[in-house]
Amino acid sequence: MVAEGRGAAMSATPELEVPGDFFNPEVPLDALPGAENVDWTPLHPRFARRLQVGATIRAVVYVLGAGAFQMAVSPRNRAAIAESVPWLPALLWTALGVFCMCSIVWPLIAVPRRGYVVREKDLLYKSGVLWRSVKAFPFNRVQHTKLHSTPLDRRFGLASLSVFPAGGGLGNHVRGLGRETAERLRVYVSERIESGALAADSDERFEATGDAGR
Amino acid sequence: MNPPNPGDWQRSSPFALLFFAGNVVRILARAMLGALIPLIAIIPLVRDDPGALGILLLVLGAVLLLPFVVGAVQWACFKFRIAGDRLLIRKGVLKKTALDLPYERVQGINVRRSPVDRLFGLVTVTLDTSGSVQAEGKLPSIKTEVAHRLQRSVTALRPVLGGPAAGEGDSAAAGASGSAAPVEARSGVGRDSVLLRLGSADMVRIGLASRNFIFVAALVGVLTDLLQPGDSLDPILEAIEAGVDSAASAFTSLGALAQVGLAAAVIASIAGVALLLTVTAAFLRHHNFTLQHDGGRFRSRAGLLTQREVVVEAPKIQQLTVSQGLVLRWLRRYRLYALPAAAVSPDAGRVSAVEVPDVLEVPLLGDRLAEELRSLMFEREATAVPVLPGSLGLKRVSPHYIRALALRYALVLVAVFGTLLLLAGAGVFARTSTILFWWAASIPAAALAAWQRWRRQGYAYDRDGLASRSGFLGSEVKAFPLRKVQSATVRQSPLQRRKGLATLRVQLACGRITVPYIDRRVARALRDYILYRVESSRRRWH
Repeated sequence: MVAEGRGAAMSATPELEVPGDFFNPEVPLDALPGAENVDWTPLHPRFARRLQVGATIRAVVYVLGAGAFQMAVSPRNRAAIAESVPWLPALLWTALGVFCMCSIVWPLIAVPRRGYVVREKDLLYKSGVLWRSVKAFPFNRVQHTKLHSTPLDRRFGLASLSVFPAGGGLGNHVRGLGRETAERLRVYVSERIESGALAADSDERFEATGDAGR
Repeated sequence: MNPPNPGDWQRSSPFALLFFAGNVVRILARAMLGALIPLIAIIPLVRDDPGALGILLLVLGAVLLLPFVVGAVQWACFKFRIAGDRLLIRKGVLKKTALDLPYERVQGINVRRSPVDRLFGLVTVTLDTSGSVQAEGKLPSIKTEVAHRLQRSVTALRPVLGGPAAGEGDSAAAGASGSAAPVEARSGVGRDSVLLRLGSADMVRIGLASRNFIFVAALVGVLTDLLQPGDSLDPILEAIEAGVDSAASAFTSLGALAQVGLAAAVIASIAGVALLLTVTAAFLRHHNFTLQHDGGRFRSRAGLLTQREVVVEAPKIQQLTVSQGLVLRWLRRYRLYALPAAAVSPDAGRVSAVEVPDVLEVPLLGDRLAEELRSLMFEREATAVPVLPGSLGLKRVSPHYIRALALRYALVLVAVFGTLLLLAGAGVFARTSTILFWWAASIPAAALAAWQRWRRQGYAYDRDGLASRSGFLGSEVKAFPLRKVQSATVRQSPLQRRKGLATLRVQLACGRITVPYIDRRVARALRDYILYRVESSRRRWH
């Protein structure tokens, strides 16, 4: 069964060869190396630290919330819990502690595995530790872009860039860019969108007047 | 009063008040349903206190009257003007909105006629403007001749709405060939070619194949059980039973058989009532369904009371979905949806702002027409991509998909039964063992379900398009031209990485399509090829 599926798939592969005249080199933006094959650009070195700080703040909030909740439990209920399930509070606190520790350590594992590449015609973004994904956003399908930074981001000099293709879909953003890189990227992507739209318009006119080149 | 000049500001007919009031009701319902239900629920509680009851009824009355008052004010503030090259709309009571809609931007004109509209010769026109313009032009209950003038103005300015009419002679409507496209298209406006007409027999088929059939049948069953606890139906049943009994006294062994027969009769009658309901629904929605094709535009018209007309241009269609449930499979028919791009909201990412345009639905069609519609709607692209769920050209995905799915289902089952276990209390051994038994027993079912899902999963591609099939009992194929893709993702789970597999996920302007568990190299090659097709395409995708 497996061999059969593989065989069929492999025999179909050559059909999809990208023609040699299709030229899509990486863009020599300052921070980006112009390599032959895709060379992932890591995120900003301070980004992992920024995520850790965020996770720490959240952890403090959770712990405070849990503490307040524990205080709010009425003495009668507390006595009932101590009698029937004495291990429950300790279990919940341990679970919360483990969760907070993991969320603080996690950026150190996850961030190095994220990266992006800007090519002439698209933006690639990879992410994921267990479930790894590579997303590709062609510039001539991007509707608009958005630069976004939270107060915490700004303290670390970071920003995130969102690209919006039609039809929505969440999570189309590259987080953890240096502020300047993000701004340069945004300008670049916007220019690509505009030039793409112009080209499409001129082609449309050509198609409408001349022999429709479909 | 003189009839208004074509270029003048106009109002909708007063019947549009119903539309505005309906809008307010919808908004109120969304915002206040949570508040209204408790209000109504309080009534029985305060029944004995006339003062409180009076106040409550007053509030309820005000809430019920509010839509009409607001609707009337909104109607008074709604004006529109059909100018030479654009439609101007002025609306809003406190927040004034001025909407200028150049006809160039109009992608489709959808017409709807409610029973009230039809009685007074009115129509509701929606100008579909998906793409860069966010606001949508909707003219509720305007005179038919005004709508016609608007339609003429729009088509006069956009003669090549759809481009050249048809494929290269592989279809019935290939009369208009591509050479002198604009002229042909213009002359084609009057010469609509009807692709499909559905009659009464087809309505029965649609009702039979309706997805709601099982649901309605269950509802009817529950209702008959609830509404008639032994008054109207049971005497009949008892009479039948008595008759059967007296007859059965002769054949004593027939008692059990008669019971079975009776149960079958009850089930059959419930199914009959459900069928009647779904067929009625089919008549209401699809009565006199006609599908026309002219100059790259597809127009469907249907409806018994409210007549709906949906117009979609071929270049706007992002994806075709052809589905076939079990009943449709038995009837050898299909159901087809042509999905245009969902209107792009000004601040994308906020889902609530996205207005979904009308989807062109063909409720019942044969395989020949489905294939023809594919080549017409994709405009000669992706001609080798199969759209029929039964196509042999669809390749299966890796069998490892079964394992992954089974694992997923088993995890869900663990969560469900784990909760049950917690609720039952860990100490009760008997209950725990029962739950564990049922969990273990349901694992093979999960595996079987995963296997069935895998059997339905499939994909195929050619140089211009890709198709993905999925389903459980029935199945549906989603097909799209590659150049309409918005973004592409290749994803790998830990299991997939070990086996050299990957999942390809493609975002279109109308939704997402997934091809799971295919060879990693194929997934990457497909992704690269799709990117090449998208990035080298210089045609508009909508």
